[in-house]
Amino acid sequence: MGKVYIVGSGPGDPDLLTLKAARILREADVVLYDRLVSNDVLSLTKPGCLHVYVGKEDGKHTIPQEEINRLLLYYATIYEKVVRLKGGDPFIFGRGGEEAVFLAKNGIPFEVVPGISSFYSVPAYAGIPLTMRGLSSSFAVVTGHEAPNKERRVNWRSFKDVDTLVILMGVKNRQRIARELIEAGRDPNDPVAFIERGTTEDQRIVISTLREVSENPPEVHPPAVFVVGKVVEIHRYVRDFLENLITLEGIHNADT
Amino acid sequence: MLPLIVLLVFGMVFAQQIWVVERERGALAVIEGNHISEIKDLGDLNHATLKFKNGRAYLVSRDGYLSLIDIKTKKILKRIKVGSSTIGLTFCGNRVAVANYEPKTVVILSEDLEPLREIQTGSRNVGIKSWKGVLVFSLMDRDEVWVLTCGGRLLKRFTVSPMPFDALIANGRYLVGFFKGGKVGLLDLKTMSYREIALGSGKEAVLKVPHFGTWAVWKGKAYIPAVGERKVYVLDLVSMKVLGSVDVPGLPVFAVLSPDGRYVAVNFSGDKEDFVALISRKEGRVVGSRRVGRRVIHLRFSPDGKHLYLSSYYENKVKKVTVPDLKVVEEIPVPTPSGLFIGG
Repeated sequence: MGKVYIVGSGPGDPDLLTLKAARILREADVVLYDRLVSNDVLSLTKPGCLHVYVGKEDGKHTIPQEEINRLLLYYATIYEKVVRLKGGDPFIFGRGGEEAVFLAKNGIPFEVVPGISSFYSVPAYAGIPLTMRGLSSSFAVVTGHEAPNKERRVNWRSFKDVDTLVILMGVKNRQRIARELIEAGRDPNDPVAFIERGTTEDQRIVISTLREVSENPPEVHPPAVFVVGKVVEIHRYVRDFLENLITLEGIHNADT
Repeated sequence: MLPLIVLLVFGMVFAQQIWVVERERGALAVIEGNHISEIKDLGDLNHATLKFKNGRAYLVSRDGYLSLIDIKTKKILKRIKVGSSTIGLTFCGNRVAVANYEPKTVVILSEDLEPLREIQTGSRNVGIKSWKGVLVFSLMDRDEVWVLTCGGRLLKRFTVSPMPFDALIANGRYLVGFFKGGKVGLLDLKTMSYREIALGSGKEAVLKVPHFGTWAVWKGKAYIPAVGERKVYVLDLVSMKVLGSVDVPGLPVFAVLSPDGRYVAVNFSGDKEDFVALISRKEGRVVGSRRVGRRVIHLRFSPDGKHLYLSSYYENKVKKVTVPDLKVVEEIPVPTPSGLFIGG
Protein backbone atom coordinates (compact mmCIF):
# COMPACT_ATOMS: atom_id res chain seq x y z
CA MET A 1 0.00 0.00 0.00
CA GLY A 2 1.38 3.40 -1.04
CA LYS A 3 0.96 6.72 0.65
CA VAL A 4 -1.17 9.62 -0.48
CA TYR A 5 0.00 13.22 -0.15
CA ILE A 6 -2.78 15.78 -0.21
CA VAL A 7 -0.82 18.76 -1.48
CA GLY A 8 -1.72 22.41 -1.94
CA SER A 9 -0.08 23.96 -4.99
CA GLY A 10 -0.75 27.56 -3.99
CA PRO A 11 -2.70 30.27 -5.78
CA GLY A 12 -1.12 30.23 -9.24
CA ASP A 13 2.37 31.71 -9.18
CA PRO A 14 4.58 28.59 -9.20
CA ASP A 15 7.10 30.37 -6.99
CA LEU A 16 4.53 30.20 -4.22
CA LEU A 17 4.76 26.42 -4.04
CA THR A 18 6.24 25.28 -0.72
CA LEU A 19 9.63 23.54 -0.63
CA LYS A 20 7.97 20.47 0.81
CA ALA A 21 5.37 20.34 -1.96
CA ALA A 22 8.13 20.68 -4.59
CA ARG A 23 10.12 17.84 -3.02
CA ILE A 24 7.12 15.53 -2.87
CA LEU A 25 6.15 16.34 -6.44
CA ARG A 26 9.66 15.46 -7.64
CA GLU A 27 9.33 12.05 -5.97
CA ALA A 28 5.73 11.31 -6.99
CA ASP A 29 4.75 8.27 -9.06
CA VAL A 30 1.32 9.62 -9.92
CA VAL A 31 -0.32 13.05 -9.56
CA LEU A 32 -4.07 13.54 -9.55
CA TYR A 33 -4.47 17.24 -10.18
CA ASP A 34 -7.18 19.88 -10.26
CA ARG A 35 -8.14 22.51 -12.80
CA LEU A 36 -6.32 25.40 -11.17
CA VAL A 37 -2.93 23.68 -10.98
CA SER A 38 -0.39 25.28 -13.30
CA ASN A 39 1.74 23.41 -15.82
CA ASP A 40 4.85 24.90 -14.22
CA VAL A 41 4.04 23.04 -11.04
CA LEU A 42 3.26 19.79 -12.83
CA SER A 43 6.53 20.03 -14.74
CA LEU A 44 8.44 19.46 -11.48
CA THR A 45 7.52 15.78 -11.53
CA LYS A 46 10.05 13.14 -12.56
CA PRO A 47 10.02 11.50 -16.00
CA GLY A 48 7.46 8.74 -16.14
CA CYS A 49 5.24 10.23 -13.46
CA LEU A 50 1.61 9.70 -14.37
CA HIS A 51 -0.54 12.89 -14.55
CA VAL A 52 -4.26 12.35 -14.05
CA TYR A 53 -6.61 15.30 -14.52
CA VAL A 54 -9.55 15.22 -12.13
CA GLY A 55 -10.56 18.88 -12.32
CA LYS A 56 -14.03 20.24 -11.87
CA GLU A 57 -15.49 23.38 -13.29
CA ASP A 58 -18.59 25.09 -12.07
CA GLY A 59 -21.53 23.37 -13.68
CA LYS A 60 -19.26 20.89 -15.44
CA HIS A 61 -18.37 18.19 -12.98
CA THR A 62 -16.14 16.13 -15.18
CA ILE A 63 -15.34 13.58 -12.51
CA PRO A 64 -17.57 13.16 -9.44
CA GLN A 65 -15.90 13.23 -6.03
CA GLU A 66 -16.71 9.55 -5.50
CA GLU A 67 -14.76 8.72 -8.64
CA ILE A 68 -11.78 10.77 -7.45
CA ASN A 69 -11.89 8.86 -4.16
CA ARG A 70 -12.00 5.59 -6.03
CA LEU A 71 -9.00 6.62 -8.15
CA LEU A 72 -7.03 7.57 -5.02
CA LEU A 73 -7.71 4.14 -3.59
CA TYR A 74 -6.77 2.45 -6.85
CA TYR A 75 -3.48 4.31 -7.35
CA ALA A 76 -2.53 3.91 -3.69
CA THR A 77 -2.68 0.14 -4.11
CA ILE A 78 -0.31 0.11 -7.09
CA TYR A 79 2.02 3.09 -6.56
CA GLU A 80 4.23 4.11 -3.68
CA LYS A 81 3.81 7.88 -3.77
CA VAL A 82 0.47 9.25 -4.85
CA VAL A 83 0.02 13.04 -4.90
CA ARG A 84 -3.41 14.57 -4.78
CA LEU A 85 -2.57 18.05 -5.99
CA LYS A 86 -5.01 20.88 -5.45
CA GLY A 87 -5.04 24.61 -6.10
CA GLY A 88 -4.49 26.85 -3.07
CA ASP A 89 -4.70 24.98 0.22
CA PRO A 90 -6.32 21.55 0.22
CA PHE A 91 -8.20 22.11 3.47
CA ILE A 92 -9.74 25.47 2.51
CA PHE A 93 -12.71 24.93 0.21
CA GLY A 94 -10.72 22.22 -1.50
CA ARG A 95 -12.65 19.17 -0.37
CA GLY A 96 -9.34 17.93 1.03
CA GLY A 97 -11.12 17.21 4.30
CA GLU A 98 -13.49 14.81 2.60
CA GLU A 99 -10.64 13.02 0.87
CA ALA A 100 -8.73 12.76 4.16
CA VAL A 101 -11.75 11.15 5.82
CA PHE A 102 -12.13 8.77 2.89
CA LEU A 103 -8.47 7.74 3.04
CA ALA A 104 -8.63 7.20 6.80
CA LYS A 105 -11.77 5.11 6.46
CA ASN A 106 -10.02 2.93 3.92
CA GLY A 107 -6.86 2.58 5.94
CA ILE A 108 -4.63 4.41 3.51
CA PRO A 109 -1.77 6.36 5.09
CA PHE A 110 -1.68 9.96 4.01
CA GLU A 111 -0.04 13.28 4.70
CA VAL A 112 -1.36 16.80 4.24
CA VAL A 113 0.94 19.41 2.73
CA PRO A 114 -0.69 22.80 3.16
CA GLY A 115 -0.50 25.28 0.33
CA ILE A 116 -0.62 29.06 0.25
CA SER A 117 -4.30 29.89 0.07
CA SER A 118 -5.63 32.33 -2.48
CA PHE A 119 -7.77 34.02 0.15
CA TYR A 120 -4.86 36.07 1.49
CA SER A 121 -2.18 35.68 -1.17
CA VAL A 122 -4.26 36.94 -4.10
CA PRO A 123 -5.34 40.13 -2.29
CA ALA A 124 -1.71 40.55 -1.20
CA TYR A 125 -0.54 40.47 -4.82
CA ALA A 126 -3.12 43.18 -5.51
CA GLY A 127 -1.81 45.31 -2.64
CA ILE A 128 -4.77 44.58 -0.39
CA PRO A 129 -3.96 43.56 3.19
CA LEU A 130 -6.75 41.69 4.97
CA THR A 131 -6.00 43.39 8.27
CA MET A 132 -4.64 46.83 8.89
CA ARG A 133 -4.46 48.88 12.03
CA GLY A 134 -7.29 51.37 12.09
CA LEU A 135 -9.08 49.85 9.09
CA SER A 136 -9.60 46.18 9.69
CA SER A 137 -9.15 44.05 12.76
CA SER A 138 -11.19 41.08 11.59
CA PHE A 139 -11.74 39.11 8.45
CA ALA A 140 -13.82 36.19 7.29
CA VAL A 141 -13.48 33.84 4.36
CA VAL A 142 -16.60 32.41 2.83
CA THR A 143 -17.59 30.45 -0.22
CA GLY A 144 -19.79 32.20 -2.74
CA HIS A 145 -20.69 28.92 -4.35
CA GLU A 146 -22.93 26.88 -2.17
CA ALA A 147 -23.56 23.29 -3.01
CA PRO A 148 -27.10 22.72 -4.30
CA ASN A 149 -29.63 21.55 -1.70
CA LYS A 150 -27.13 22.20 1.05
CA GLU A 151 -28.60 22.32 4.51
CA ARG A 152 -26.01 24.70 6.01
CA ARG A 153 -26.49 27.82 3.94
CA VAL A 154 -24.19 30.82 4.27
CA ASN A 155 -25.67 33.25 6.75
CA TRP A 156 -24.67 36.54 5.13
CA ARG A 157 -26.12 38.48 8.03
CA SER A 158 -23.37 37.14 10.25
CA PHE A 159 -20.80 39.06 8.17
CA LYS A 160 -22.36 42.47 8.69
CA ASP A 161 -19.70 43.62 11.15
CA VAL A 162 -16.70 41.70 9.89
CA ASP A 163 -14.25 44.33 8.67
CA THR A 164 -12.93 42.43 5.66
CA LEU A 165 -14.81 39.75 3.83
CA VAL A 166 -13.12 37.45 1.33
CA ILE A 167 -15.44 35.48 -0.90
CA LEU A 168 -14.02 32.61 -2.88
CA MET A 169 -15.88 31.18 -5.86
CA GLY A 170 -18.27 34.11 -5.69
CA VAL A 171 -18.10 35.48 -9.24
CA LYS A 172 -21.25 33.86 -10.55
CA ASN A 173 -23.33 34.97 -7.57
CA ARG A 174 -21.64 38.36 -7.10
CA GLN A 175 -24.78 40.43 -7.54
CA ARG A 176 -26.82 38.30 -5.15
CA ILE A 177 -24.01 38.31 -2.58
CA ALA A 178 -23.68 42.10 -2.75
CA ARG A 179 -27.43 42.43 -2.27
CA GLU A 180 -27.41 40.04 0.68
CA LEU A 181 -24.62 42.03 2.32
CA ILE A 182 -26.41 45.37 1.85
CA GLU A 183 -29.61 43.84 3.17
CA ALA A 184 -27.65 42.55 6.14
CA GLY A 185 -26.71 46.16 6.91
CA ARG A 186 -23.27 46.59 5.34
CA ASP A 187 -22.42 49.99 3.95
CA PRO A 188 -23.34 50.13 0.23
CA ASN A 189 -20.25 52.34 -0.20
CA ASP A 190 -18.01 49.48 0.94
CA PRO A 191 -15.26 49.13 -1.61
CA VAL A 192 -15.04 45.85 -3.48
CA ALA A 193 -12.20 44.26 -5.41
CA PHE A 194 -12.33 41.33 -7.76
CA ILE A 195 -8.93 39.89 -8.49
CA GLU A 196 -9.10 37.57 -11.49
CA ARG A 197 -6.45 34.88 -11.94
CA GLY A 198 -4.56 36.34 -9.01
CA THR A 199 -0.78 35.86 -8.75
CA THR A 200 -0.58 34.73 -12.39
CA GLU A 201 0.56 36.82 -15.31
CA ASP A 202 -3.07 37.20 -16.34
CA GLN A 203 -4.03 38.86 -13.06
CA ARG A 204 -6.67 41.55 -13.50
CA ILE A 205 -8.18 43.75 -10.82
CA VAL A 206 -11.64 45.29 -10.93
CA ILE A 207 -12.50 47.85 -8.26
CA SER A 208 -16.13 48.63 -7.50
CA THR A 209 -18.49 49.10 -4.57
CA LEU A 210 -21.14 46.90 -3.02
CA ARG A 211 -23.79 49.24 -4.37
CA GLU A 212 -22.50 48.97 -7.91
CA VAL A 213 -22.15 45.21 -7.74
CA SER A 214 -25.68 44.94 -6.37
CA GLU A 215 -27.14 47.03 -9.19
CA ASN A 216 -25.07 46.51 -12.29
CA PRO A 217 -22.28 44.04 -11.60
CA PRO A 218 -19.00 44.51 -13.44
CA GLU A 219 -17.78 41.91 -15.86
CA VAL A 220 -15.58 39.46 -13.98
CA HIS A 221 -14.44 36.00 -15.01
CA PRO A 222 -13.65 33.16 -12.65
CA PRO A 223 -11.46 32.28 -10.96
CA ALA A 224 -11.50 35.50 -8.97
CA VAL A 225 -11.18 36.44 -5.32
CA PHE A 226 -13.91 38.85 -4.21
CA VAL A 227 -12.86 41.19 -1.37
CA VAL A 228 -15.21 43.54 0.49
CA GLY A 229 -14.06 46.16 2.98
CA LYS A 230 -12.14 49.37 3.51
CA VAL A 231 -8.77 47.63 3.08
CA VAL A 232 -9.52 47.54 -0.66
CA GLU A 233 -8.63 51.26 -0.62
CA ILE A 234 -5.04 50.41 0.25
CA HIS A 235 -4.64 49.13 -3.29
CA ARG A 236 -5.02 52.70 -4.52
CA TYR A 237 -2.22 53.96 -2.30
CA VAL A 238 0.33 51.27 -3.02
CA ARG A 239 -0.25 50.23 -6.60
CA ASP A 240 2.16 52.66 -8.23
CA PHE A 241 5.05 51.03 -6.41
CA LEU A 242 3.74 47.49 -6.08
CA GLU A 243 5.81 45.29 -8.34
CA ASN A 244 4.35 41.84 -7.76
CA LEU A 245 2.78 41.94 -11.17
CA ILE A 246 1.92 44.46 -13.81
CA THR A 247 -1.83 44.20 -13.79
CA LEU A 248 -4.49 45.34 -16.16
CA GLU A 249 -6.94 47.25 -14.15
CA GLY A 250 -10.49 48.41 -14.49
CA ILE A 251 -13.00 50.35 -12.52
CA HIS A 252 -16.63 49.71 -12.89
CA ASN A 253 -18.74 52.38 -14.54
CA ALA A 254 -22.19 52.07 -13.07
CA ASP A 255 -21.67 55.28 -11.19
CA THR A 256 -19.63 58.42 -11.53
CA MET B 1 2.96 75.66 -35.66
CA LEU B 2 0.77 72.64 -34.99
CA PRO B 3 0.62 72.97 -31.20
CA LEU B 4 -0.54 76.57 -31.53
CA ILE B 5 -3.34 75.61 -33.92
CA VAL B 6 -4.46 72.80 -31.65
CA LEU B 7 -4.45 75.16 -28.70
CA LEU B 8 -6.52 77.75 -30.54
CA VAL B 9 -9.02 75.22 -31.80
CA PHE B 10 -9.24 73.75 -28.37
CA GLY B 11 -9.82 77.17 -26.87
CA MET B 12 -12.72 77.67 -29.21
CA VAL B 13 -14.45 74.37 -28.75
CA PHE B 14 -14.23 73.80 -25.00
CA ALA B 15 -16.08 77.00 -24.35
CA GLN B 16 -17.99 75.56 -21.40
CA GLN B 17 -16.49 74.96 -18.05
CA ILE B 18 -16.36 71.18 -17.67
CA TRP B 19 -15.76 69.66 -14.28
CA VAL B 20 -14.39 66.15 -14.45
CA VAL B 21 -14.14 63.73 -11.54
CA GLU B 22 -10.77 62.01 -11.54
CA ARG B 23 -12.15 59.19 -9.52
CA GLU B 24 -8.92 57.27 -9.05
CA ARG B 25 -6.96 60.36 -8.01
CA GLY B 26 -9.39 61.93 -5.58
CA ALA B 27 -9.28 65.09 -7.67
CA LEU B 28 -11.36 67.27 -9.98
CA ALA B 29 -10.15 68.55 -13.32
CA VAL B 30 -11.72 71.78 -14.50
CA ILE B 31 -11.53 72.38 -18.23
CA GLU B 32 -12.13 75.96 -19.21
CA GLY B 33 -11.22 77.30 -22.61
CA ASN B 34 -7.69 76.12 -23.23
CA HIS B 35 -6.84 75.77 -19.59
CA ILE B 36 -7.11 72.83 -17.23
CA SER B 37 -6.89 73.18 -13.48
CA GLU B 38 -6.75 70.32 -11.06
CA ILE B 39 -8.20 70.46 -7.58
CA LYS B 40 -6.66 67.78 -5.39
CA ASP B 41 -7.17 66.15 -1.99
CA LEU B 42 -10.93 65.93 -2.24
CA GLY B 43 -11.32 62.48 -0.72
CA ASP B 44 -12.69 59.32 -2.26
CA LEU B 45 -14.61 60.44 -5.32
CA ASN B 46 -16.36 57.18 -6.10
CA HIS B 47 -20.09 58.09 -6.04
CA ALA B 48 -19.13 61.72 -5.48
CA THR B 49 -21.83 64.36 -5.86
CA LEU B 50 -20.96 67.76 -7.32
CA LYS B 51 -23.40 70.66 -7.40
CA PHE B 52 -23.09 74.33 -8.24
CA LYS B 53 -24.68 77.35 -6.60
CA ASN B 54 -23.92 81.06 -6.55
CA GLY B 55 -20.50 80.78 -8.15
CA ARG B 56 -19.41 77.98 -5.90
CA ALA B 57 -19.13 74.24 -6.27
CA TYR B 58 -20.09 71.81 -3.52
CA LEU B 59 -18.58 68.37 -3.62
CA VAL B 60 -19.23 65.52 -1.24
CA SER B 61 -16.94 62.51 -1.32
CA ARG B 62 -17.83 58.96 -0.46
CA ASP B 63 -15.67 59.12 2.66
CA GLY B 64 -17.63 62.06 3.98
CA TYR B 65 -15.68 65.18 3.01
CA LEU B 66 -17.75 68.13 1.92
CA SER B 67 -15.70 70.68 -0.02
CA LEU B 68 -16.66 74.19 -1.02
CA ILE B 69 -14.82 75.37 -4.10
CA ASP B 70 -14.71 78.82 -5.68
CA ILE B 71 -15.64 78.32 -9.32
CA LYS B 72 -13.52 81.24 -10.53
CA THR B 73 -10.31 80.64 -8.62
CA LYS B 74 -10.73 76.85 -8.30
CA LYS B 75 -9.58 77.19 -4.72
CA ILE B 76 -11.02 75.06 -1.94
CA LEU B 77 -12.62 77.61 0.35
CA LYS B 78 -13.52 75.11 3.01
CA ARG B 79 -13.43 71.39 3.61
CA ILE B 80 -15.36 69.72 6.38
CA LYS B 81 -15.94 66.11 7.39
CA VAL B 82 -19.67 65.43 7.58
CA GLY B 83 -19.65 61.65 7.88
CA SER B 84 -17.56 58.57 7.30
CA SER B 85 -19.67 57.18 4.46
CA THR B 86 -21.75 59.71 2.57
CA ILE B 87 -24.15 59.29 -0.32
CA GLY B 88 -25.87 62.52 -1.29
CA LEU B 89 -26.04 66.28 -1.18
CA THR B 90 -28.83 68.75 -1.87
CA PHE B 91 -29.52 72.46 -1.54
CA CYS B 92 -32.58 73.41 0.47
CA GLY B 93 -33.39 77.11 0.71
CA ASN B 94 -30.13 78.65 1.83
CA ARG B 95 -28.95 75.44 3.45
CA VAL B 96 -26.95 72.44 2.31
CA ALA B 97 -28.03 68.99 3.44
CA VAL B 98 -25.99 65.81 3.31
CA ALA B 99 -27.18 62.22 3.77
CA ASN B 100 -24.89 59.69 5.41
CA TYR B 101 -24.85 55.94 5.44
CA GLU B 102 -22.48 56.15 8.40
CA PRO B 103 -22.96 57.61 10.95
CA LYS B 104 -26.70 57.31 10.66
CA THR B 105 -27.33 61.01 10.26
CA VAL B 106 -28.45 63.77 7.96
CA VAL B 107 -26.37 66.93 8.39
CA ILE B 108 -27.65 70.42 7.64
CA LEU B 109 -25.14 73.19 7.03
CA SER B 110 -25.14 76.81 5.96
CA GLU B 111 -24.05 77.63 2.43
CA ASP B 112 -20.65 78.47 3.94
CA LEU B 113 -20.51 74.98 5.43
CA GLU B 114 -21.15 75.93 9.03
CA PRO B 115 -22.79 72.86 10.57
CA LEU B 116 -26.22 73.85 11.85
CA ARG B 117 -27.91 70.61 12.71
CA GLU B 118 -27.22 66.91 12.81
CA ILE B 119 -30.33 64.76 12.63
CA GLN B 120 -29.99 61.29 14.12
CA THR B 121 -32.11 59.02 11.96
CA GLY B 122 -31.06 55.60 13.22
CA SER B 123 -30.74 54.44 9.64
CA ARG B 124 -28.59 54.53 6.54
CA ASN B 125 -30.02 57.51 4.64
CA VAL B 126 -30.54 57.77 0.91
CA GLY B 127 -32.30 59.79 -1.78
CA ILE B 128 -31.87 63.24 -0.25
CA LYS B 129 -33.75 65.86 -2.31
CA SER B 130 -35.46 69.17 -1.79
CA TRP B 131 -38.38 71.03 -3.26
CA LYS B 132 -39.80 74.44 -2.38
CA GLY B 133 -38.51 74.73 1.14
CA VAL B 134 -38.80 71.11 2.17
CA LEU B 135 -36.14 68.49 2.56
CA VAL B 136 -36.97 64.86 1.78
CA PHE B 137 -34.95 61.71 2.27
CA SER B 138 -35.46 57.98 2.76
CA LEU B 139 -34.39 55.82 5.65
CA MET B 140 -33.13 52.50 4.36
CA ASP B 141 -33.19 50.65 7.66
CA ARG B 142 -36.43 52.11 9.03
CA ASP B 143 -38.52 51.85 5.87
CA GLU B 144 -39.57 55.49 6.13
CA VAL B 145 -39.49 58.72 4.16
CA TRP B 146 -39.08 61.89 6.18
CA VAL B 147 -40.13 65.37 5.12
CA LEU B 148 -38.49 68.23 6.99
CA THR B 149 -38.16 71.95 6.73
CA CYS B 150 -34.84 73.08 5.30
CA GLY B 151 -33.88 73.93 8.86
CA GLY B 152 -34.47 70.33 9.96
CA ARG B 153 -37.86 70.45 11.68
CA LEU B 154 -39.76 67.24 11.00
CA LEU B 155 -42.99 67.87 9.11
CA LYS B 156 -44.12 64.39 8.26
CA ARG B 157 -42.92 60.81 8.10
CA PHE B 158 -44.27 58.13 5.83
CA THR B 159 -43.96 54.39 6.28
CA VAL B 160 -42.92 52.79 3.03
CA SER B 161 -41.99 49.34 1.71
CA PRO B 162 -38.78 47.71 2.94
CA MET B 163 -35.40 49.21 2.10
CA PRO B 164 -35.88 52.39 0.11
CA PHE B 165 -32.63 52.77 -1.82
CA ASP B 166 -32.70 55.67 -4.25
CA ALA B 167 -34.93 58.56 -5.23
CA LEU B 168 -35.53 61.28 -7.74
CA ILE B 169 -37.64 64.39 -7.61
CA ALA B 170 -39.56 65.84 -10.53
CA ASN B 171 -42.06 68.66 -10.22
CA GLY B 172 -42.80 68.09 -6.54
CA ARG B 173 -43.12 64.34 -6.94
CA TYR B 174 -40.60 62.38 -4.89
CA LEU B 175 -40.13 58.99 -6.45
CA VAL B 176 -38.49 56.38 -4.26
CA GLY B 177 -37.11 53.05 -5.44
CA PHE B 178 -36.63 50.01 -3.26
CA PHE B 179 -33.73 47.69 -2.93
CA LYS B 180 -35.89 44.72 -3.70
CA GLY B 181 -37.23 46.39 -6.84
CA GLY B 182 -40.62 45.77 -8.33
CA LYS B 183 -42.33 48.93 -7.25
CA VAL B 184 -41.80 52.59 -6.57
CA GLY B 185 -43.18 54.90 -3.93
CA LEU B 186 -44.61 58.19 -5.05
CA LEU B 187 -44.77 61.03 -2.56
CA ASP B 188 -46.62 64.03 -3.90
CA LEU B 189 -45.18 66.93 -1.92
CA LYS B 190 -47.98 69.25 -3.08
CA THR B 191 -50.62 67.15 -1.35
CA MET B 192 -48.32 65.30 1.06
CA SER B 193 -49.83 62.03 -0.07
CA TYR B 194 -47.99 58.78 -0.61
CA ARG B 195 -48.76 55.68 -2.62
CA GLU B 196 -46.89 52.75 -4.10
CA ILE B 197 -47.15 51.48 -7.62
CA ALA B 198 -45.77 48.38 -9.29
CA LEU B 199 -43.00 49.61 -11.52
CA GLY B 200 -43.73 48.91 -15.13
CA SER B 201 -47.20 47.65 -14.36
CA GLY B 202 -49.30 47.24 -17.44
CA LYS B 203 -47.51 46.56 -20.63
CA GLU B 204 -44.05 45.36 -19.80
CA ALA B 205 -42.24 43.12 -17.38
CA VAL B 206 -41.24 44.55 -14.03
CA LEU B 207 -38.04 46.56 -14.27
CA LYS B 208 -35.08 45.71 -12.09
CA VAL B 209 -33.68 47.82 -9.27
CA PRO B 210 -33.99 51.44 -10.21
CA HIS B 211 -30.87 53.54 -9.90
CA PHE B 212 -32.38 56.90 -10.59
CA GLY B 213 -29.08 58.67 -11.14
CA THR B 214 -28.86 56.94 -14.50
CA TRP B 215 -32.31 57.99 -15.72
CA ALA B 216 -33.11 60.79 -18.15
CA VAL B 217 -36.37 62.59 -17.36
CA TRP B 218 -38.31 64.67 -19.88
CA LYS B 219 -41.69 66.20 -19.05
CA GLY B 220 -42.96 63.41 -16.85
CA LYS B 221 -41.36 60.63 -18.86
CA ALA B 222 -38.28 58.74 -17.75
CA TYR B 223 -35.81 57.02 -20.07
CA ILE B 224 -34.45 54.14 -18.06
CA PRO B 225 -31.36 52.13 -18.97
CA ALA B 226 -32.49 48.58 -18.21
CA VAL B 227 -29.92 46.68 -16.18
CA GLY B 228 -28.81 43.57 -18.02
CA GLU B 229 -30.99 44.23 -21.09
CA ARG B 230 -30.14 45.92 -24.36
CA LYS B 231 -33.06 48.28 -23.97
CA VAL B 232 -33.98 51.70 -22.67
CA TYR B 233 -37.47 51.74 -21.21
CA VAL B 234 -39.78 54.72 -21.40
CA LEU B 235 -41.81 55.14 -18.25
CA ASP B 236 -44.67 57.55 -17.65
CA LEU B 237 -43.94 59.04 -14.25
CA VAL B 238 -47.58 59.89 -13.62
CA SER B 239 -49.21 56.55 -14.34
CA MET B 240 -45.97 54.59 -13.76
CA LYS B 241 -46.80 52.59 -16.85
CA VAL B 242 -44.13 51.52 -19.29
CA LEU B 243 -44.94 53.28 -22.56
CA GLY B 244 -42.46 51.29 -24.57
CA SER B 245 -38.81 50.56 -25.01
CA VAL B 246 -36.00 51.42 -27.35
CA ASP B 247 -33.55 48.74 -28.48
CA VAL B 248 -29.95 49.86 -28.00
CA PRO B 249 -26.76 48.20 -29.24
CA GLY B 250 -25.29 47.34 -25.81
CA LEU B 251 -25.99 47.08 -22.09
CA PRO B 252 -26.91 50.66 -21.19
CA VAL B 253 -25.49 52.44 -18.14
CA PHE B 254 -26.42 56.14 -18.28
CA ALA B 255 -29.19 57.83 -20.24
CA VAL B 256 -28.74 61.60 -20.53
CA LEU B 257 -31.12 64.06 -22.10
CA SER B 258 -30.15 66.90 -24.42
CA PRO B 259 -31.20 70.31 -23.07
CA ASP B 260 -33.74 70.74 -25.88
CA GLY B 261 -35.17 67.28 -25.23
CA ARG B 262 -34.49 66.04 -28.77
CA TYR B 263 -32.05 63.30 -27.91
CA VAL B 264 -31.23 60.81 -25.22
CA ALA B 265 -27.57 59.75 -25.28
CA VAL B 266 -26.62 56.38 -23.84
CA ASN B 267 -23.33 54.77 -22.89
CA PHE B 268 -22.75 51.08 -22.24
CA SER B 269 -20.95 48.48 -20.20
CA GLY B 270 -19.54 45.22 -21.54
CA ASP B 271 -18.97 44.66 -25.24
CA LYS B 272 -20.07 48.16 -26.29
CA GLU B 273 -18.28 50.13 -23.60
CA ASP B 274 -16.45 52.16 -26.27
CA PHE B 275 -19.70 53.32 -27.90
CA VAL B 276 -22.26 56.06 -27.48
CA ALA B 277 -25.73 55.77 -29.00
CA LEU B 278 -28.15 58.58 -29.64
CA ILE B 279 -31.87 58.00 -29.31
CA SER B 280 -34.19 60.41 -31.06
CA ARG B 281 -36.84 61.06 -28.44
CA LYS B 282 -39.47 61.83 -31.05
CA GLU B 283 -38.77 58.80 -33.20
CA GLY B 284 -38.23 56.46 -30.25
CA ARG B 285 -35.26 54.75 -31.90
CA VAL B 286 -31.49 54.88 -32.07
CA VAL B 287 -30.49 57.31 -34.81
CA GLY B 288 -26.75 57.02 -34.37
CA SER B 289 -24.16 54.90 -32.67
CA ARG B 290 -20.40 55.22 -32.87
CA ARG B 291 -17.20 54.10 -31.21
CA VAL B 292 -15.97 57.32 -29.65
CA GLY B 293 -13.40 56.29 -27.06
CA ARG B 294 -12.20 53.45 -24.91
CA ARG B 295 -14.55 52.70 -22.04
CA VAL B 296 -16.86 55.66 -22.08
CA ILE B 297 -17.77 56.14 -18.45
CA HIS B 298 -19.96 59.22 -18.46
CA LEU B 299 -21.40 61.78 -20.82
CA ARG B 300 -23.15 65.16 -20.82
CA PHE B 301 -24.66 67.41 -23.44
CA SER B 302 -23.33 70.92 -23.90
CA PRO B 303 -25.91 73.55 -22.86
CA ASP B 304 -26.77 74.27 -26.53
CA GLY B 305 -27.27 70.55 -27.21
CA LYS B 306 -24.92 70.61 -30.19
CA HIS B 307 -22.19 68.55 -28.61
CA LEU B 308 -21.64 65.77 -26.13
CA TYR B 309 -18.76 65.67 -23.71
CA LEU B 310 -17.63 62.23 -22.64
CA SER B 311 -15.05 60.56 -20.42
CA SER B 312 -12.88 57.98 -22.17
CA TYR B 313 -11.42 56.21 -19.18
CA TYR B 314 -8.84 53.96 -20.80
CA GLU B 315 -7.58 56.76 -23.03
CA ASN B 316 -7.37 59.22 -20.13
CA LYS B 317 -9.22 61.78 -22.21
CA VAL B 318 -12.32 63.91 -22.19
CA LYS B 319 -13.75 64.20 -25.68
CA LYS B 320 -16.21 66.44 -27.40
CA VAL B 321 -18.38 64.91 -30.11
CA THR B 322 -20.90 66.46 -32.44
CA VAL B 323 -24.64 65.82 -32.20
CA PRO B 324 -26.21 64.00 -33.97
CA ASP B 325 -23.39 62.52 -36.05
CA LEU B 326 -21.16 61.68 -33.06
CA LYS B 327 -17.86 62.76 -34.60
CA VAL B 328 -15.02 63.49 -32.21
CA VAL B 329 -14.03 67.10 -32.77
CA GLU B 330 -11.82 67.69 -29.78
CA GLU B 331 -10.15 65.87 -26.94
CA ILE B 332 -8.13 66.79 -23.94
CA PRO B 333 -6.01 64.64 -21.61
CA VAL B 334 -7.49 64.11 -18.16
CA PRO B 335 -6.27 61.20 -16.02
CA THR B 336 -8.86 58.53 -15.11
CA PRO B 337 -11.88 60.68 -16.02
CA SER B 338 -15.30 59.60 -14.78
CA GLY B 339 -18.25 61.88 -13.89
CA LEU B 340 -18.70 65.04 -15.97
CA PHE B 341 -20.50 68.16 -14.83
CA ILE B 342 -21.15 71.35 -16.75
CA GLY B 343 -20.30 74.25 -14.49
CA GLY B 344 -19.95 77.98 -14.63
